Amino acid sequence: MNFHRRSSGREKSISRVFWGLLILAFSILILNTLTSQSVSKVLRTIVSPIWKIEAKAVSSPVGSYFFSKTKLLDRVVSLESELAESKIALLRYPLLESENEKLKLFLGRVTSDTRLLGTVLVPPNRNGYDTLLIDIGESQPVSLGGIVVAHPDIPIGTIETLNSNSALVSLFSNPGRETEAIFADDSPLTLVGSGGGNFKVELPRSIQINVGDVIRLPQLSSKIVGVVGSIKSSPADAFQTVLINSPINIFSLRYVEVIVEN
Amino acid sequence: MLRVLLSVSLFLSILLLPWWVSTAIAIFLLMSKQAYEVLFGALLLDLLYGNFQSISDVLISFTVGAVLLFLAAHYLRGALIFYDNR
Repeated sequence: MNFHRRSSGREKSISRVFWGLLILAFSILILNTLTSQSVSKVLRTIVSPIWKIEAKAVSSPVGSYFFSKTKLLDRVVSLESELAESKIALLRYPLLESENEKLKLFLGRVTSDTRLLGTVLVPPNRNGYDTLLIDIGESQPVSLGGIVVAHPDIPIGTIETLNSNSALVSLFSNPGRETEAIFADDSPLTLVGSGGGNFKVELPRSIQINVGDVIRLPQLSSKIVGVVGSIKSSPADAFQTVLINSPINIFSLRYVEVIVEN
Repeated sequence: MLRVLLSVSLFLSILLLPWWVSTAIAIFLLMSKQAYEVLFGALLLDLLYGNFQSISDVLISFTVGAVLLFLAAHYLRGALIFYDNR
């Protein structure tokens, strides 16, 4: 039996158009990098009205109609159960917080910060870069490097680029990004982002760390940045790999706060 | 007509949908000949959402991924016996 070959043989070599576009694309990317993302700023300014319309549509009653009712009901049941457990665990929290504030006041170290509420225009799962775009721009009193927190008080990243009416936030969990943190009795460690709100840390096996331990930023008002999820170690290895998860779901964030001053 | 619809869908998905949807549409587009709009789409995605601090960061980007996909699709089109290469 003969199979008639439909293909006329090997396709011609790649056209010059492709090579031209390739050079153009990399030139734009390199130019953008060298000019502190000037091209990106212009593009985001042009596109941000579309994101704002989308954010309003999703949060409107018409937008929520399209979500599955069953999924929502399941989620409600699961959250109610979690809430009941958390309430019990948090009974002591107000007492400890009040005691902490009194001690700081006694030692003359009162902390307060001003925050700006922002809407998340593009969540991190949309773009694959572990960044998110918020609707706070250069016109607001924010600066590059400003810490962005999610409710209730979980720091998630810092402002990397400011556009006219939006800002690009790089998450602490950005793959490869290193963040200094502390755990237990203020023992220091360096978090290495592995994407999606997760971190990885290599610690000597002699250091005692447990699943559920809280990881905080090294500030006077310590903010929780992660919780130890699992620990991998083997007897032959001098180090243990600690996997840390963000205590919140960064993919479902709709509002964040930017700390504008301390 | 299908290609035009897919191209429009690609750019809309970059703005409004997760990146893996855009990638799937790009792969469908690359099944046809010389889908250069895939390169533009990847560049747009990198410019909108990327945070490149140095030139070496550009090497790990959607643009590079799109270039590799384009080249792979180009060579596969020539190698597949039953692909209509006219």
